Amino acid sequence: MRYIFTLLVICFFSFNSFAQTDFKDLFESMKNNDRFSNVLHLRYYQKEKPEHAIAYYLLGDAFDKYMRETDPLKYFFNLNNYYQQANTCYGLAKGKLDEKQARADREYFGDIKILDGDRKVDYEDISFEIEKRLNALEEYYQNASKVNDFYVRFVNKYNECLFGFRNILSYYPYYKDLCLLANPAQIKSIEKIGANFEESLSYFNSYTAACKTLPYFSKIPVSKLKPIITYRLEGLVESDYSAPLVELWDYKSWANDFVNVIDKDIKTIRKELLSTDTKLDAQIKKLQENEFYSDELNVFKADERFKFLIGKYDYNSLSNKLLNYKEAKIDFLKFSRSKINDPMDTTDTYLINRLTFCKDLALKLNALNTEASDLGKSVTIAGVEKYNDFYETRYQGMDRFIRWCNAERFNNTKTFNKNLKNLDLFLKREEEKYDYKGIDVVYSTKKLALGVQHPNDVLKPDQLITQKFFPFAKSTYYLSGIEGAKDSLAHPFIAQADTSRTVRWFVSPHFQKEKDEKSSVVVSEMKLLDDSTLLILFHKQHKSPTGNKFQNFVAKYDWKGKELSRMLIDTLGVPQFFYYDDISDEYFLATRQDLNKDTSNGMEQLNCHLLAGNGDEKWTKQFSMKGNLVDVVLTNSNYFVFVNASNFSGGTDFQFDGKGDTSALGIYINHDGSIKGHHQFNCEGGLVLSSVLKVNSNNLSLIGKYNPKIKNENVFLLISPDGEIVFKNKEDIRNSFKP
Amino acid sequence: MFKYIILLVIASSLCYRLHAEKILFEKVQITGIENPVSFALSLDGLKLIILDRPSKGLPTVKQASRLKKETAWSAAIVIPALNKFIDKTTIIDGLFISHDGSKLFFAANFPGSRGGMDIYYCTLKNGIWSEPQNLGTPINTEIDENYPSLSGNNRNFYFTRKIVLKKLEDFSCGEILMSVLDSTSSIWLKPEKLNTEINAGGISCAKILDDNNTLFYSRLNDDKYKWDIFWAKHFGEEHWYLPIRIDTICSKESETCPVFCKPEGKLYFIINEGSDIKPNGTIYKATIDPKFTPDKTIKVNGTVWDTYNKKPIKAHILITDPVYGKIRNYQQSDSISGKWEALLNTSNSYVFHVWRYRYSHQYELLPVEKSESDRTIDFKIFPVSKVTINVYDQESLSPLEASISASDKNQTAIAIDPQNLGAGQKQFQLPLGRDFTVKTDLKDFYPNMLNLGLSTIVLFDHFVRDIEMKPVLRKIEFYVTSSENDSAIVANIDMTEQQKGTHFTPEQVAGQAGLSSITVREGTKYGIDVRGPKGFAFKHTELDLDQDRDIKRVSIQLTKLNRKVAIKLNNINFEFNSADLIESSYEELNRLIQLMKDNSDIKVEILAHTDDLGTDEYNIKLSDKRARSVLQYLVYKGIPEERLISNGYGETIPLVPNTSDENRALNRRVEMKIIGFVTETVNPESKEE
Repeated sequence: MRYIFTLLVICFFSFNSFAQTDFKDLFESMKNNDRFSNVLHLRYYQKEKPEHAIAYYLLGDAFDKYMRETDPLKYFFNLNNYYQQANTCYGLAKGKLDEKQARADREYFGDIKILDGDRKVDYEDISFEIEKRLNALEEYYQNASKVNDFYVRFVNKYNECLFGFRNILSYYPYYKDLCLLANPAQIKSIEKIGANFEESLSYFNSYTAACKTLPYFSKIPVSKLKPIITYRLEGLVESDYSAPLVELWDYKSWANDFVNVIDKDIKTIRKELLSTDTKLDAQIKKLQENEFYSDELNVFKADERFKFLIGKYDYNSLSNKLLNYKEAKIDFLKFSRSKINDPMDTTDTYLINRLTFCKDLALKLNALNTEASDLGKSVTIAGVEKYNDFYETRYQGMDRFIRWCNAERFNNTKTFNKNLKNLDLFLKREEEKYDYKGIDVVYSTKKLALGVQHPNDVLKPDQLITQKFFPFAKSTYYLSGIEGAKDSLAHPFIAQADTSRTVRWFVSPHFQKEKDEKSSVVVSEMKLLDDSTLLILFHKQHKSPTGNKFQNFVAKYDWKGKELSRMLIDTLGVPQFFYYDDISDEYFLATRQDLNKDTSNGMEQLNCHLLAGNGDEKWTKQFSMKGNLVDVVLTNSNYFVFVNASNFSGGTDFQFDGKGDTSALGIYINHDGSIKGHHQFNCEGGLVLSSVLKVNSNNLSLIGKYNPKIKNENVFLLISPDGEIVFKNKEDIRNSFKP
Repeated sequence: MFKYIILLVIASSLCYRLHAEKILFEKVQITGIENPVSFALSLDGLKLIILDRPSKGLPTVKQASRLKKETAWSAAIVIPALNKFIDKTTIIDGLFISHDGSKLFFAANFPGSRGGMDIYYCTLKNGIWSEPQNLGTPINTEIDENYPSLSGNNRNFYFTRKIVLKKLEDFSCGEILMSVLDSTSSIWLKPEKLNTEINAGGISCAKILDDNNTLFYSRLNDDKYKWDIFWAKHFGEEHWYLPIRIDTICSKESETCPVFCKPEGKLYFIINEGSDIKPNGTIYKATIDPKFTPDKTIKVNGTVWDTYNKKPIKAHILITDPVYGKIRNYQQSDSISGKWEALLNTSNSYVFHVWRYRYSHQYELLPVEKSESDRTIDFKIFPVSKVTINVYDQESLSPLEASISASDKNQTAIAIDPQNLGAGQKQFQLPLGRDFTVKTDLKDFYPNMLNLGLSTIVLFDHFVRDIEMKPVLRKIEFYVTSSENDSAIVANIDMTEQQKGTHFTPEQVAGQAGLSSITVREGTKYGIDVRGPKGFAFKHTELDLDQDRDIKRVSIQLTKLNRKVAIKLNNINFEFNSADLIESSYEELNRLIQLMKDNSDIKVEILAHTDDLGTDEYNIKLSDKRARSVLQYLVYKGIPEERLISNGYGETIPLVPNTSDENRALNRRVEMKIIGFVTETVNPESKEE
């Protein structure tokens, strides 16, 4: 059919084959022909009789009808042509018509309304009819133009939404990323999508309103808005815009929802993040800078609902990690401000509590530094870009933020080390706790110092020096030491005094000497057992030109000073460590002994003995070393022997050569005397331990200095009973285990 | 006289020709062509295929070429694939090269044709023309078809169908028809005649140009019995301007086979000095009035890539107008090279829609300005999309390591496992063209799922979706009573979620003394610390909602702190053969400390017991030291030593007979006992008691 219409849009050139000069005949034949043929015939007639108005009138009528039958959307071009043709023809009809033609041709003009009264159609009536038709034609054409115009505008606007939407979605695979990452230009373009959609709908409404003016549309198109729910799967494909039911993606609602999220949640997140981070930093600063200690501190914490809001939009959020890290740091700093850590507070005198505090602080530092490290590792461009302004304002961008994360570990460790000095102070106080403070007691003619003395002068005959001292219960002191004798020799004494400065008993144990023997005996260790038995380790040193001879004795005294037992322990060397396990009735004794000076290269012998209660040797381990014994710790009935050594030999078991640097070694001896292995703790410049203390069943704390020659800074290590480092306050401290 | 007249006619003809050649015409010189009767020119103007009908021998289809539009044509060479079908009975005519250069159309009366002449085509593959294929119905009918041509968008097929005009039987006349490719772009629809203004009289050699708007054809001049060349042009969608004869090239000879060479801007045609039956032709080219020049088109080409397999791919390329959705072009990219090419009229906008079955789609909007030149657009489609699923706890938003699988909704048996990206993120590679259900499952959470329809149009290669999982909750009631008389007592209950250390406090149920309740998450483990009012011992218990699947109420009896009543302290452990407390014991001891702080007037004895292994003396020593260890811990934590005493009872007070390891474990224990109050004179019970 469309191709038939094409014929009609032609100029007035033609062949003559249809020429028909008698209009009456033509009119009659037209009754039996279709419109297409009639138009052809009328055109040829009009060529023949160009002044005859009726031909133009009927042609105009035909084109008018064609125009009204044409789709104003898809074939508006055709419609326009029909309009032009009809308009021209009606115009010509109007121009050519005169009263004579009106009278002669009135029957051909058809059913024309008579303007007034009951009479035949005349010139006025026909002119009026033509004018009316011209007006109606124009009105229809204008309406059709509107339909087409609004339709094109509607589709173009909708396409702007569609392509703009596709473009926006191409940036981010995740809706929540779009919410956090969209830059102002993108947010504007989304707002524009919403506005365009509104405009598009408005054009659609105008289009449908215009459609109502055209009878062509038996059904007025309606729109159905489809919500865009599934990100990246909906709202991407165009509809059939000329269908009776036009399904449209609701970009406006989508854009509104997005803008709402930006205006409410995202703006809140950005504002609150800045404010929360600032407050957390202020809290951190306060805890770091103000020297106060309290167990009742109230600290600022980020609002959990705010963190939840971040998590709602930012899965695995960097910013939440940052807030969590800062909260952990506050927790760490708050803990460091615990009363137990107050260096001036002497109410809690228990070393174990201090050690437990240091252990807990160290473990918190570990966790905090791990969090700082994880925070640094989790930094991604996208993670930072989501809060670009925040990271720019607060941290000068991503690179500096990563540097800040790395610096945090250093700063946290620095804070820990600062707190470690409080432990140092405590330990020093502990060490000096029983030092002589000028209080003496008198026994017979002897003056005894109630406190440990550290004389610089040579021991004079009859002079008493207190070397071991401790209080017991509320009113008792135990003390022991040496009494000067001739030839600069010394004899031991043991005594008990009370707080009223009375010496309850004084014992000067006798040790048999050979003839001309010049030996001194000192108290190496004094321990009070649970049953109030006093356990004493005596060390006898016999100096002779051929070399020193050593003997060690273990003696027990009851609470009245009566010697209960004494036995010679078959060990050599100077006692370094003595431990009695009264449950299993075993002694652990470590002694040190010079080696042959010619072959020793400065090495000395370290002997470790486990003895039964009756003095029988259970086992002995001999080591040679260049260094010193630090401590022996009993862990779950095994022995951890700690030494500082630059050279250490465990015989066939193991060798260590620090090449001049001192390392801390922990030799792990099983209860049966077999060596499980040794741990080496070292770092660049060397590591020297000053003490090893058992915090609890899971932790030993190793206290000392690293790089002692240059930096002399504190080392604090926590190790497990198996020797694995649980915490270290200097990163390059290494631990190696060799079985 | 007649001689002179003849001479005059020849002279005038010659003069005209000379005049024409000088001003407008240029003979196209091609070696090896004797009598061209039809020819086709490629759109780039570099390939010429000519049907040569020599005076002796069979008609032959030959091909000439040139490197540039300015250079001369090479000698014509025979196209074997086509010529092997030509014998002395063969009539061949109407050559046409499609505008994309991929097909050679022509009409021939090969055996098997419907009626006489049918339209055939050869396809160019690797520089060689394939054997001819009959175009079939509805183009070919019982009537002779001739002069095929295809629009630049490959959607409109023009050809002529024979008609017989009275008194003009010697002329091979036809009328022009056009067939449109259907919307599926797979079949040609029933051809329709062009309007009678164009099909006025006898027509031959109709050729639509690449712009799909310009039509050149020869029309029989029935006054002079010769062919003239006409030009017609579309306007709008369906209309034609009235055809115009191109007078400047029409002589008294027959001009046929008009082919416009765009690069040269000249019209190629044949002047036939013979008859239709015995033609004697020469190819000429001439400059014509610019008004006859076809609309500008640009060549848009590119490659379709499979980005997943990283290779070129065959795909559908549909080009439509963005407003009415009318199809402007359709084609498929080459299956090997992935290449495609389309001619597009300028001053229009186009939407490119590229897809393939079970692949993604790509849309591009391309406005083509008049000044635009040829351009390349590569398309990227893919058969698989990455789908990242974030699985997290609906309440805490923390990531969950749930088991997750995706299955085809129609083939549920086929499940796809994801790659674990960590932190609750899993990633699937899901093939397109199917709909999937992604299901998550995790103990103590309600299963959840999401549907992912990938059978629809997919544009993106990566999707991120969240699946929130809702924890299963259980309401737990606590009922606290006194061990003395079972009366309800109001106690403080503190629940500690063991994994995270989070504390919860059940709420007292109004009006029901001793009863409190809380809704907690299934599968979690809680430590329950119950602190009674003053005068009651504490109780610690554990609630493992993973193990205790049915428990809804926890009844707790608190022991009244009475003298002489030993209360067992739980989980107090020591190192082997030692009195050193194991760290885990501190938890219970801290409760004891709290109790002593809450009841600041009580004095307590710590009692330690052993099993029967070891000597009596050893056991007494060990238990004594262990009791002392506990005491020391309490003192460290601030309980005045005056309020404490410790005693070891060795194996003397077993709870149960030491007949098994289990019983011995029960006998190894630490207890506490109220021994008095601070206001009283302490009279600790002796061991002998």
